[in-house]
Order: sequence, then structure tokens, then C-alpha cells
Amino acid sequence: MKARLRLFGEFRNFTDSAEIEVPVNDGFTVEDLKSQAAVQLGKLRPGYDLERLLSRSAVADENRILDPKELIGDHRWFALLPPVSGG
Amino acid sequence: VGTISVKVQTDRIRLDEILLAPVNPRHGAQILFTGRVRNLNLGKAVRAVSYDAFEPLAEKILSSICTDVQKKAGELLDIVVIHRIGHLEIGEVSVAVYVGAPHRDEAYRASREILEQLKARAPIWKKEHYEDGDSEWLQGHALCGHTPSLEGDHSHGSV
Repeated sequence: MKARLRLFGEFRNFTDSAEIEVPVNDGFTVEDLKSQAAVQLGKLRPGYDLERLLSRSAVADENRILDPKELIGDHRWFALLPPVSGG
Repeated sequence: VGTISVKVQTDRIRLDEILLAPVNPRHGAQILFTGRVRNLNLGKAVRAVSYDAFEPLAEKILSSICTDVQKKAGELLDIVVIHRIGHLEIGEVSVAVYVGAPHRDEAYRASREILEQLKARAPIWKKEHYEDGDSEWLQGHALCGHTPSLEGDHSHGSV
């Protein structure tokens, strides 16, 4: 199974696409999802300090920012949110 | 109870429409804050800025911010928050925060609080395009475990 992860901000520099797909299963937590994203994103931009960026990034759905420990269940669409800079 | 209107949009922000909207007769104070794209940030000459947002969540979070501020102020405030996305040239309005209130003190406080919370919590990003041809996505506030400060930050020139 795969989940789609929409990319914003600095993550847009990793690929021309607005999203990536990562392998998941129902038992995954949000943290597991981020770990899978790290693998995919690391391949796209070798040498970038991805760990630091991901440690400051949140995962959300359309309604809220998700807790790292919560299960993703059957949800298959997320947004990866780096530090924000609106205003 | 006052009204709340929140929007993230690609269209230019019409300040005249905000100011010409009907005013609550109990309101003696109106604050319209605008943030504009500045031509200098951290010593680098900026020629334009692109904004991106996770729109559905951004609008929900902005609504939540406004509701909290409204409750704190006694629920009489009228609030409008509009944030642009897309490509903006120098001088264009990137964000507008309108607050109508019975008195100036609560209007000033609410306006500042909304803007600081927006900058710290709304999933919106800016990419600066520099005169030297370079460009950069700015990284400000992390959305995981951050407590916003009323003092704000000065990481970008416009706001």
C-alpha cells in the first residue's frame, strides 16, 4: 500500500512534483510515515540535511496537524509541512 | 457576537472592499493592518516573493486563531484575515488583517495577536526571489511543538 504525501516549502526543492508516494501499512504511525518519507526524499536530494528539516516538519491532513504517535489507519493522503513563513 | 471572515487567495487583496464593508455601530475603532512585499531581507535585494499554502488547513487554523482572539476580547470583534498566495511583486499586499472593535485598545491588541499567530501557525510559505537570480524558501516557525511569541520575528522584511 502507498500513501501520497503533498510537499510544501523547502520540500518543493526536492522534486518537480508536488507530492511523493511512500509505502505504508495500517499499523504505521505518523512517525513511521515520516521515516518512509525520509527514505524517498533522501534519494531525491542526496547530501541535503534532511534530518534537521524533517525534525522541524509536521504531518497534517486537511483538518489538523497530526500527532507523531497516532496511527494513520486507512488514511492515504497527507501533507508534509516544513517550518512556516507566512505573513 | 462579531463576525469572522478568513480567506487564502490568489487574487489581489482589495483593501477598499474591506474598508467599505458595513461597520457595526457599536464599533468605535477599526484597524487595518497590511503586510507588503519588501525589497530587502537580511541584506539581500529581493525582487519578488512567491507564497504557497496548504489552503484547507490554513483557512481552518486562521479561523481558529480568530475565534480564540475574539473570545478573549469579549466576542464583539469583527475580524477579516486575507492572505495572498502565488507570485507577488515588491509593494504588493501579501496579508491583510482587519479588526473592528468597540475601543482602540482591544482592536490594536487583537490585530497584533492575530498576525503573530498567523506567522507562527498558518501553513503558509514564502519563497524569495533575489535580484542576483537566486531564490530561497524561507523556514520560520516549526508547526511541531512551537509556542508563538507576541514579540514576533523579523525574518522577512514585509511583516
